Amino acid sequence: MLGGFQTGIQGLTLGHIVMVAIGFIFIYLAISREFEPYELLPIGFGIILGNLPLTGIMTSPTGRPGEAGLLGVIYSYGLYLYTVLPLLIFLGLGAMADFGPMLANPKIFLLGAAAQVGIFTSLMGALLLGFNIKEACSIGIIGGADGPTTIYTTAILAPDLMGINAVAAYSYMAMVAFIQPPIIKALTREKERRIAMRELRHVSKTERIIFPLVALVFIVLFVPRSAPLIGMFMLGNLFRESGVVPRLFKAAENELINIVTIFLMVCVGASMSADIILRPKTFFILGLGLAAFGVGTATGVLLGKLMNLFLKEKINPMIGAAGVSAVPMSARVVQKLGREADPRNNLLFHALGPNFAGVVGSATVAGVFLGIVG
Amino acid sequence: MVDWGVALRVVILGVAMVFAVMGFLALIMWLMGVVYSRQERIRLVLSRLTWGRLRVPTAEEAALTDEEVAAVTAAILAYLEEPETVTDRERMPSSSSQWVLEVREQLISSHIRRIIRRWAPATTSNWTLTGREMLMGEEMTFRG
Repeated sequence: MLGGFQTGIQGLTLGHIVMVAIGFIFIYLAISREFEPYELLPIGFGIILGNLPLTGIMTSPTGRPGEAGLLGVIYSYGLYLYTVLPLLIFLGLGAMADFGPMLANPKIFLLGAAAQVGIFTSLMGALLLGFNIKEACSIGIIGGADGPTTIYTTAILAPDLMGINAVAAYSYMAMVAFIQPPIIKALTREKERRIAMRELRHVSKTERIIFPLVALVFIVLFVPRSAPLIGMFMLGNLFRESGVVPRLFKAAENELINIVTIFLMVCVGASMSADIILRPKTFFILGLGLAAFGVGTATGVLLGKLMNLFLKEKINPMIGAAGVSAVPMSARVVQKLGREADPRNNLLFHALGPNFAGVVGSATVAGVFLGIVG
Repeated sequence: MVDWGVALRVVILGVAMVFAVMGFLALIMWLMGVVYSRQERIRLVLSRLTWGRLRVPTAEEAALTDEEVAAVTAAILAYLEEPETVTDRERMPSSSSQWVLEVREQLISSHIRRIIRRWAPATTSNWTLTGREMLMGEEMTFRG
């Protein structure tokens, strides 16, 4: 020691070095490949900050002045103890959500539900691999392709897994364009991919205002533990659709979500310490997360095909894949595949319906998990 | 040791709950769509049932004529030519005709309809000038 002064080098271990390297890789992916940069850039930076030794930056508050680290305070009060930060992001996401395509064609709510089946298959897979029920639920929710829901659920059920689950969720959301097309093509015929859908009807302002209120009351009555997620989401949406609170709407859509994203993602990254991440369980989680995405894509498409057996006006079954609520990436994947099959086909707005329905669906599932095992 | 009983309960209840909730929401939204598409007929029936005490659509709320829409569109475009509207221009999408379509959709909503009719003078050219004054005075949200 240098006269009582300790350098970080003395505390450096192989685990720290590996994690810092992983942080640099995430930053590279974010900047150079533009893989979910709003999430992976701060997560990568947080990994580096949290894994440089002896910084104290992740020290939790003890009540004594000067002892808590910057990220330790934000992590403790925003995530670990009170799980507030992901809910504030959901408020911003609600302000960005446009339920018009879903309201114009309500039967596609069911496609959003079908795509959540991937969550449950991964849950069972996680149990078989030796995870306990709480860990399995938090791993399964990755299949909802919803970052804040994943972080919120994991922070409550299995806080140790929060970092890896968040990274898995956002990484797979960024790779939706690679994961979904082979599954969609395998499950659909060319003729089905060419199905054109009629232009959506106009959705009145009244319907847009009533929906978040009805959805809030209905969902929370049936799944009370979904109240924080659904409540914040619908509040943000009401700000948007009411049109009478433009400052609140703009703040939720911009300043709030941006500020919270910075703190949340840096904390999520900093919580990923070597002893938690560098173990075989991490690879199981990554595999299960990928499986959840794949199964969710498949079940959404399959329900679309099943619905076509009964519908006079057919839907393009590919839009079921957008029920995996990676908004708007999976809707864009469906649009691209639709155009490949028929250049005149315009499926984007139709696919946005199940996309946003999936967000509501995954929040509902999270509420069920928290209600039973939370 | 895994409690498979709890696990099965989570899976069965979770799947059932998400389909039930989404299915009911779809039903409610479908009903709302039906009511919206038949609102004029419903209003007429309610008006008859309440002996005309229920407020029926006034002339102010009737749909804008094509001439009125064209005049207001011209007013908006004239407004945007003014230098102080440069922030609105930044919000315009690349095709100005698409923007005009979106604005026209906004204008046809009943709230704006009432404002327009209150301001409409007798002749179209005066109406264009008045439309510009209205746009500068009223707070309007354009989806750009």
